[in-house]
Amino acid sequence: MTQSKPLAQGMSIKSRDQYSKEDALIYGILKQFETYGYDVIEPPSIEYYDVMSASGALAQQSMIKFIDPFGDIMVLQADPTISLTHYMSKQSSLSLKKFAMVSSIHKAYTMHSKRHEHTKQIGIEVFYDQGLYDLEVLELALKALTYAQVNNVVVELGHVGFIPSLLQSLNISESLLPSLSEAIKLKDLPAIQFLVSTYPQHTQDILKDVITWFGSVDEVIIKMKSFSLSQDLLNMVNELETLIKAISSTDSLMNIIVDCSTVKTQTYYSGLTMTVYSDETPEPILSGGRYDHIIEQTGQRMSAIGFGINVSTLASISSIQPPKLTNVALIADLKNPKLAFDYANTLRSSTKRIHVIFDDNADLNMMDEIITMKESNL
Amino acid sequence: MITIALAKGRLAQKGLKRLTQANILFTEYDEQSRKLIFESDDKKARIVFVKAMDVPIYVANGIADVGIVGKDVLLENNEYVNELADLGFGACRLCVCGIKPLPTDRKPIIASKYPLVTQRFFNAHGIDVDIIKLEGSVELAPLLELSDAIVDIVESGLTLQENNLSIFTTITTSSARLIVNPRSYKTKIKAMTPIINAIMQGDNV
Repeated sequence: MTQSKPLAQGMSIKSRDQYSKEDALIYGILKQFETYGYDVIEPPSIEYYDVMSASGALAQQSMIKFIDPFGDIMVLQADPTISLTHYMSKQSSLSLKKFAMVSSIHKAYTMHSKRHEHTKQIGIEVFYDQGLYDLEVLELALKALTYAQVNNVVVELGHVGFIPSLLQSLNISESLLPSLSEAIKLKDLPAIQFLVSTYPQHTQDILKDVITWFGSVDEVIIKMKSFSLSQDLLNMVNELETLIKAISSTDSLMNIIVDCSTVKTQTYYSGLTMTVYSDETPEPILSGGRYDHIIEQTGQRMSAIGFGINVSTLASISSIQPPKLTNVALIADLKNPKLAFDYANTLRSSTKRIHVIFDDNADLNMMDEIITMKESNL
Repeated sequence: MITIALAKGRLAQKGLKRLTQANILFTEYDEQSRKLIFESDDKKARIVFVKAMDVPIYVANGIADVGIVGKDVLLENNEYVNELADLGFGACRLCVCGIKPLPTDRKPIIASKYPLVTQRFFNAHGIDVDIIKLEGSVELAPLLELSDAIVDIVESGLTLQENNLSIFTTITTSSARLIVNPRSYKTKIKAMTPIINAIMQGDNV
């Protein structure tokens, strides 16, 4: 009966280079996090639907749901940050917590040819009552990228409060906010022009220009200065400028830009946001930011910031070289398999992969070395 | 090098004309050629010819950095791209058309190249319809009674007239849009700016 079922999506053979690189990246980056005092935490692979959906950050269609034997609706892990925040809401002590984690994330799609996807993510989350951890988290994000030896990446910083504050200062009507925010997020200039066509010219000019307010922090400030903006808005950009200057002093070679038109998909972001792009991959490598609101929703008054790195995407552009392995084919005699396996074990090492082969017609093209095993040889 | 995705036809011709006006030249380009990729003379850009419906897909996936495509295609595609400008040419309407009014005693059948737009439109009006996706000559569907009506692009209305079809309602208007890949727009902004400016600022000739 199962023959008639199509293959479930997600089966993939990873090359040795690929998984070695991913393992090396996870190990190395976790070590970096450890030096900053982060404890490793493992989020659950199954979460309550009510918990995952409470913040409104995830579309219900993007979660893979099922009913457990107790009748609760559960979802495969879709966002470990939400699980962690829920965990923190149950803690009696609100002292500083710094977590590092590696987690599998499952997503469902309704509009794409793929129906399900699971990705591996490495990241950190900081929960704190006092202090300012934006700089530490950003620094660790850059350190992880430096460790991975990635080139030509753009680190984009934004402030999720900027666009709402701008729209408020321009007295945009409440009913227009969702569609206008969406148009700004998509940098959809025709839609912006259409939506604000009845507003004063000055308002129209600012909103048409805002989608170009990205680039180096100096460039952005120059663009913004041609409009008279409120001090609150300028303060948000100054906050980013201070952060970038602090990072620049840590000898980072990353291309750091600011995007004032940032409107994050996850509605829980509340301040600084960071996204890292590379020319070589369509998806962002890293994504994160401040999410104080989500923890406030649980009744706790704490600040929270973190980021996640897509491990496969990072590996695909990382220049890290895992140790080279030699593939050795041991052509064995079917009459004496035990002898072949015993001999193979003596040959195996951290740099040698031994393939015991009984088939005379096996494809040996991928082998670096071939040993034909005959009793007379041993 | 900046990659520009175009669909062969009028939108591509107008786009190329604007690039030429800005001295971004593709002298190697030949309209009659079956080649799908042409590099600019200065090797800083290349154009790739794809199906109109595929333009947003190439751009969203970062294979192309820039694209010119009709708004109708963007509405159907739902890909994540930045839509930087309404280029003002290629104006048309997306309409519901047919020979006789939609049946009320059964579920209407609508044929279209735009099933998502069709679904959204009828959903918004609380009408449950069956949709048949067609790839071309959509006007045939009501004539041969494959469907009760069609949702299709109307430019001059001449094709409808010649096939005895009339417009029931206009869903939306459409025109050519300049789209860019959101990541490229940030990582390659300097190289993309001359191309974006050329396409946005050229004449509609």
